[in-house]
Formats: sequence, C-alpha cells, structure tokens
Amino acid sequence: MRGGANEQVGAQITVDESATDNVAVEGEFGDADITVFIYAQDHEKAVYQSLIDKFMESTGANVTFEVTTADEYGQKILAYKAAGDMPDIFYVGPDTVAANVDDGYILPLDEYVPEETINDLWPAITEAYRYDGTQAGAGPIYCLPKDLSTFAFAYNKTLFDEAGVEYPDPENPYTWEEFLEVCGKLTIDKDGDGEIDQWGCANALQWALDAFIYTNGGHFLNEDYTQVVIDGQQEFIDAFQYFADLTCKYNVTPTVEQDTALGGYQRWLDGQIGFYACGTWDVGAFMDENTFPYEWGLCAWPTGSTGKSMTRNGSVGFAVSADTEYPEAAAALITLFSTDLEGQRVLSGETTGASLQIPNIMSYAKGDFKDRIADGTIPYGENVDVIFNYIEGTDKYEGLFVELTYTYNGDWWQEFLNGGYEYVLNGEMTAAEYCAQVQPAMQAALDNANEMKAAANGQ
Amino acid sequence: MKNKDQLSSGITSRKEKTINIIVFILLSLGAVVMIFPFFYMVMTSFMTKNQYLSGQLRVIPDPWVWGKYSEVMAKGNFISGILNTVKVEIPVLIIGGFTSSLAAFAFAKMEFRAKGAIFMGLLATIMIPFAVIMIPQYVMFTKFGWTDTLLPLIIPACFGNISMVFFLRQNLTSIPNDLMDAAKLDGCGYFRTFAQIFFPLMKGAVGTQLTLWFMAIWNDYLAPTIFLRSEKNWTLQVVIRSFNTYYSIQSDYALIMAASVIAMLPTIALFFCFQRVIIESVAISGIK
Amino acid sequence: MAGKGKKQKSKLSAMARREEKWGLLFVAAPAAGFLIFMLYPIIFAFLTSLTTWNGAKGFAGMMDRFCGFDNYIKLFADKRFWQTLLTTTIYLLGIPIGMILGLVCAMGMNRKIPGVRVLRTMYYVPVISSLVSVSILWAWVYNYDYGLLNTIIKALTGLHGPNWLGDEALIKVSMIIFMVWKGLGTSIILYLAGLQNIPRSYYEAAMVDGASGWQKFKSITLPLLSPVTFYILVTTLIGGFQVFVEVQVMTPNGNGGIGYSAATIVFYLYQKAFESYQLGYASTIAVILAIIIFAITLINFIGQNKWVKTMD
Repeated sequence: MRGGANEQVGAQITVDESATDNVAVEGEFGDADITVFIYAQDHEKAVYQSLIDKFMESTGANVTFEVTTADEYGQKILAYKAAGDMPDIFYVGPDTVAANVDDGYILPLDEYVPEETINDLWPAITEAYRYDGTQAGAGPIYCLPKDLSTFAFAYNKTLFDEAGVEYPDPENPYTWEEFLEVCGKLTIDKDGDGEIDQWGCANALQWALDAFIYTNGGHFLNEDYTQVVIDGQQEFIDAFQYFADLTCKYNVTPTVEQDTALGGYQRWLDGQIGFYACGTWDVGAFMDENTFPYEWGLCAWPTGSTGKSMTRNGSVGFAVSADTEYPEAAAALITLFSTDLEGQRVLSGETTGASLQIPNIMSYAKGDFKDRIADGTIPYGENVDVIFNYIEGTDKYEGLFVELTYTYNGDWWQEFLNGGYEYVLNGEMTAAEYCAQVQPAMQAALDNANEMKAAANGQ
Repeated sequence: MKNKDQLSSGITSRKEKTINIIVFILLSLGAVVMIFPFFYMVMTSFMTKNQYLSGQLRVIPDPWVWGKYSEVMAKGNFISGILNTVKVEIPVLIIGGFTSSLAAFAFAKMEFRAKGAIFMGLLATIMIPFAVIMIPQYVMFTKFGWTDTLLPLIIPACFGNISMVFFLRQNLTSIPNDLMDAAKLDGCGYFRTFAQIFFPLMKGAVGTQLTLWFMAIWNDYLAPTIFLRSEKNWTLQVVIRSFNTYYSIQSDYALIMAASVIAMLPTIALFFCFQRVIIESVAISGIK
Repeated sequence: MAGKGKKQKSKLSAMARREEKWGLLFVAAPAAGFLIFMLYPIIFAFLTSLTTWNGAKGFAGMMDRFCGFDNYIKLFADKRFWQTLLTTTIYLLGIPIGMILGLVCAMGMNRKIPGVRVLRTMYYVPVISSLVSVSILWAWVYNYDYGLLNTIIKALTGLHGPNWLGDEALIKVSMIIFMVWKGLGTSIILYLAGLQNIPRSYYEAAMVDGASGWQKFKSITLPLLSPVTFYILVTTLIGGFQVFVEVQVMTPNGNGGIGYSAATIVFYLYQKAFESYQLGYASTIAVILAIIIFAITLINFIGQNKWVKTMD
C-alpha cells in the first residue's frame, strides 16, 4: 500500500495447519456468505485460511477467501469500486480511511466490536483508523489492524566487531556527527582491491528520507496539508543535504550507480552494510540463518536538531464493506483476524520462530511476547525495546505516520521522487536547488489532490 | 520449395555462393546476439547467487545448481496456471479463428453496404489502448457475473481478432478477384466459396496468425491480472508475475530465470514444431 | 446514411443483395464484439474523461463529478504529460530501425543458405517470449555492476560500462535496443513470408531484361513487399504508443527512471489511474492517446495509396 511499510520477507516460513487449533469463535452465522479480499504472502495466507476454516466450522458461515499480491491490490480494489461490487472484507490503510469513509465504502465498527478488544490495541493504531468526517484521529473506528509496523534501524554486530567499533546504545541515539563518524569506520576496502566493498549504511531514499527530515524538525507540507513548504526550509534542506552527503560527500554508502546494480537490502543481507533499516516484518528474515548469517541488533535512527529519533510507522487494516449483508459476521471474522491470540502467536513468531509483526494485542505484546523473545523462543534482534519505543513514543523516540498518510493521494510525493532526486545523491545538485526546482510540481499535484478531496466531501 | 531450389541451382554462380557464405556468417552472428541473453538466462538459472553477483564475466555455472527448477514447480501455482491458460486458448483459437477468417474474407472479396465504415470501425479498435477500456469492461463483466471465471478472457476474443482480420484481408488482396467472380458465375454459395476456395488458399496465413495469437494469449498478463479475481483462475503469466514480484527483492535471479525458462518453453517448442508449415504455406499462398 | 442506402438498395440486383446479406452476416461477429466490448467502453471512458471520478459509487458517482473539459485544459498544461509523450515518440525511433534490420535479415534468409529454419527461429524467440520475463531478463542484462553487458565490456576493455538504466538519455537508448531486439523477429517473419510470396517469374522476367540486383530490389521486391511494410508500420506504431510493461519492469522500483526519463504516456496513465485513483484524469490521457493513435493511423491509410501496391 502507498505509504505503508509492507515489503517483502526473505525467509521461507511454513505455517502448520494445526497452529490455530485453539481458536474458538462464538456466534451463529449460518446464513452468512462473506467474501474476503486481501493481499498476503503465503505464510500469512496460511494463517488467515486456517482462521477462516475455524470460523466456518464454528459459526456455520460460508467464507470465500480471495488473495492477490500487494502491488496489484490497489488496482483490483479500484475495479471493484468502479463496478460497485465490494468484497465484504478488504484492506484499508490509514492513508485511505478518510477517502473510503467519505465515499461511503466502509462501516464504523464500534457497534460490532467489543470495547475491551479495541482498548487492547495499540493507541497509535486505533487513532490512525478513527475518522470523524473531517479529521483523522477521532470519531468512530473503521478498521481493525492487520498489523502495526515500524521502520526501525539495525546494525550488523559482526561488522562492528571486525572494525573494533562499539555497538550503538539504544538509550542514547547517535547525533548525525557521531553517526557519520561510525559509518566512516565501517566503510572499508575489505579485500584490498582498491575498491570500497563495505559501507556504513545504505538507505533507500523513498523509505528512509523521512527518518532524517522529521528528526531535524523538517516537514514537506504545512500544517493543514495545503502547501508544499520545502523550498527554502532550512530544517528540510539540511536534513536532505546530510542524507545526500552520506553518499556523495562522505562516501559512506554505495554510490547511486552501485545502488541500481544491487539494492541495499541485498547488500545488507550479504554483510556489506553496517546500518540498515529494519521493518518489523523483516525480523523473521533477518533471524533466518540462511538469509542473513550475521549477528545483529536494533538501534535508533540518528537524531537531528530535535534530538529525538524518529521514523515512520505503518499499518494496514481490515475494513468491513458498507454494502455487506452480514456486518455482524464480517466484524466477528475481522476481530478474529486482528486480535485472535493464536493467530497473533503465529504471525508474531511464537509458533513459527519467524516474527513478521508486533502483536496487535497490547497485553500480549508487552507480556508473553517480550518474555518469549527474552527466553529465545522467538528469535529477535537485540534491543527489541527500540521497536516498542517507536510504537509507544518516549522522550528520545517517536514513530509517526508520514504526511503522505493525511493527503488525498500521493502524487505530490511522487513528484518529489520523479524530479530526479538522484542528482542530489550523486552531488550534481544541492538539496536546496532541488527543493526549489521540484516544489512547483509538487504544489500542483497537492492542489489537485485537495480539489479531489473537496469534490468528494462536497457530495 | 524444392522445385524452386532446383530451378535456381542451375543459375547459381560462384559469386552467389560466396555472397551466401558471407550472408550466412552475418546472420549467424546476429542470431547469436539475439539468443545470447536467453542463453545467459538459462545459465543464470543454474548459478549460485555468489557467481551471478560476482561482477565477473563467467557464463558457465560453477558449480551447477539444479534445484531451482523443482523449486519453481513446487512453489508457484504452475500447473494450474498452465491449465487455465490452455482453457482460454482452445475456445478462443477455434471460434475466434473462424470468425476472424470469415470476416476477413467478406472484407476482402465481397461487396456490401458500409463495408469501409465497418472495417475502419473495427480497425480503430486496435488503436484503442487497453487502458481506456479496461475499467468499463471490468464493470461490464461484473454485471454479467463473469469475474470469478475465465469468461472475460474467452468470450470477447471469440468475436474475432481484428489484427488477424486485418492481416488476412491484406493477404487476400494478393489473390486475384477473378477467382471470386468465377465462383459467383458457377453459382457457388458465399460460405462455400469461403470454405472451399478461399480458406484453403489462406490456410497458411491463418496458421501464422493463430500461432501469433496463441502466443499473445500465452504471454498476456494485463487483462488476466485485472479480470481474474481468485488465484484458482490465474493464468500462467499472472502466476509468473506474482513470482517475479516476490523474488526480485531478494535478488534470487536464478529462481526468476528458471521460472521464465519454464514459462517460455511451450511457445518456443510450438514455434519449432509449426514454423515450417506456417511459413511455407504463407509463401505458397499466392496463386497463379 | 439510411436515405442514401435506401436509394442504392433499389438499384441493387438480386445477386448483389444476396452478397450484401451474406457479407454483413460474415462480419457480424467482429462487428458485434466491437459494439459490446469496444464502442461501449470507449464511450464510457470518454464520459469518464469529463469527470473527476475516482472510481467511487459506480456510474452515478461518476456523473456526480462532471467537470466538463477541465481535465483536458489541465492536461495541456501538464509537464509530465508532454514529457512522457516526448519519450514515447523517441521510442518510436526503434520502428524504422527494426523494419530495416528485419528486411535485411529476411532478404538474407531468402537466399540459398543452410539452416534458415534454425536462424529464423532464433531471431523469433524474443517475440514469442513473455514481455514480463524478457523485461526482467534485460533489466538483469543492463545491470550496472553485474549485468551481462557491463561484464562483457569490462572483460574486453577493463573499463566499467555505462549505467544503462540510470542515465536520462542512455535509458532511452537502452529501451530502444530492447524493443528492437524484442520485435525484430516479427518483421523478419512477415517480410520473409512476403518475399517468398513474390512469384519467381517476376525476377526471371527482370533478369531477361538485364536488371541489376538493386533495380530488382527497387522495382520488384520493395513494391511487392509494400503491403507487408504497411502492415508492420501500422501495427508497430499502434503498439509503440502503448509501451508500458517494459518501463514498469526495467526501471528501478518501477519508478519510470531517473527524473521520470523512461516513462511513457501509458505508464503515466496507469500511475494516474491506479496509484492516485484519478480515473477521470487518466481517462483524459487515454482519450488523447487514442486520438493521437487514430490520427497517425489515418495518415498512414491516406498515404497508403501513394506507395502500397497490390498484385492485381
């Protein structure tokens, strides 16, 4: 999903059919006929399928389960909308809640889902799915989360040991200067052939730039999301320039060309990278010996002028179609998907040994889940608290939904990416010049999005 | 073909022979360039990740890794993807091939009202980007209740393929109109004229077009992607694509290349088997 | 039209009327298919282009968002539209290159040389391969550090090859090379069929007249191949305006290339439709694209009389 943080998982995870044997569903929906349409990877599909089987068994409902891939999902859901033929249950991200509510596609769930269930979800996530008709964050809740992810930072301990560098301290995030220094120590020519073959970090701009902008007090848009304000905004420009300088001035990342040849993800897996972004969905893969044969730990993104380490949170949620004939049954099923303890045990790694998400259920996440990590049942990188810090927020950490979440569409961000930012990364252009150059196109796209939003609300 | 060869062999001079050798060498070099990426693809499918990410020019796998093919067959929904594709191919090629040939005959050799207008109208359809009609078509197929079947890929195609009509019509213009007039004078019915006189004459062209169409259906992925809802109906390309999406992030090129090799084999095998008939019959379709 | 038809009808003989009836029947299937699966969707798409529809609430929702020709006005001021249109046009350069190469190869294969069948098949393999697969293959071939091309260049010269897909100008060249490679087999097979279709007696007659090779080519081969040339030209031009998959698969992250430099008009259209849900605006691009393609095809057909010959 746009703005969401659902990427690919490298490890092969097998889910045993008996994994959700203990599921119990109350209710009788004998005549209900529900279609579920989501995107999922094989292991997720297996979990949801087994939950569906249990649901059908105990309630008598009939459920059709249709799955597609993440990158085709938007296109298909659009076709369903145009045809006026919505599945009963489908995915909606925080970025599209408002649009879906405005267009009358999804049902408020408060009536169907017990309050204590909602209260045991992370506040950050329930807020993202509330909408009162004008503002996000308040009003009825429209989705139950499939997950709440955060885009933390990780480091390869093996490389730190080899270079004789001290591990980062999660309690005291690096400043940019410190970060640069450490990256410099990790950037070396390992095989002595005259070419650098190990780098301090490798950040894909489209995912990682936010972590630099926001920590420096920068932002793309003004407060009511009507103006693009990057041109001349020192906080933004400094952060962007620092981000680019890591590549073109200090050379502690692979060059732009090298990055097109082999992405940072693969280089990290190959042990060429000291620091790399680690989404909560990546943990299973990074703990898999065959995929990533290195010791690693979690740490904070380096901090800019605010002194607070920041990163993006992400989520996608299960929504119930406003057209469904069986709202109770559909709501019961998504409650199962989202908050069934057995299902969460599977997805968060307790049953499978490969963690793909932080549990949606707060009490379980802070209790059993952490204990299982501590006792080694759930393989996890060191310092899992970093993840919790970003999700809950502390005085040194903050996870947030990026500005893209709150605009009608992502065209303005697309314009930022299409403007040729690579020229900043390779040093042919300064961040300031780029911001000045690209802002008008971004503004036009944003104006256009706001017009569309107004048209939708005007009805 | 043989007759022509015998005929020309008498006149072939030494100079001609030299030119032929040079031409042969040049064409062979060109063919190697055309094929080499595929060769590299097949080789990559047997390489270890270390080898194909070494940056060295090493084309032969060392060591050979054979497992990717069984991995592909076991993982993707390959067999059902192939079956679904075949389920689309058979009715479309038989019915669509028939309707297209018949229409081409009518456009080329018959006179009727609004012929030019109808033909231009039809021709206009090949100019319409799929993107334009995709959403409206989807809305329509939903109303027909087709979205959980293969029908959206079958029914519209059975009405005929306009590129095929266009090419066959072009092909028929090289057949003199006298033949048509003769048939009329003999009192031969129009359908019989088509079936017994003209269809045999354009059989080769029909064969070529059907082969091309077969491959187009085999390789199509945009329409199936949009119209086919659930996995059980996915055609091969959709299966392959979901596969590609998943494994390129991990740079598992060996696996992706293995999948592509398997997906390409049927079309290449088919072309190897039928190319002779196709091209030779096209070549002799001109009558004297 | 109806009035004119009536007048004509009265003049028609019984035989002509019978021919008319059968002719219409024979083209009925494609004509019906055209009406249902093309004309109706096209009208629908045109209506969509006059709205700011985002797909919501079906047809009624669409008409609620009627905006007249606003989208068209916006489109003409849209830099990205012009950029992608220009890129699309640049890619069309691959068409004459492919046709000339195709004709040259076909003429070579039409000679008495061994292994023509094998050669022909080899040239044709790219055509019959799935576009998705070969696009991925070529993205891999073009890879800056590990691709086949740059490893060959390095092995031969010791220098690092260029960033085939990472430079605004070069990426266009790379795409054209790819497209020529992909399509060459089609023009070869069609030209070869055309060449073999030319009665040998024509050449023999020319030989008797003492015509040179070039004269034979110019006055027999080329004119008699003109229907094939026409066919290839028309279809590749139409296809050339619809390039999409290559761009999506071959540019890093499917982003359209550095500074959107490889993006085509259809790529832009897809992004508008499926990433920002602007179905109205996307339909406007589609309508303009359809008009461009229609105009170019029309020009082709009008010009056809000047150079396309039949054997009658």
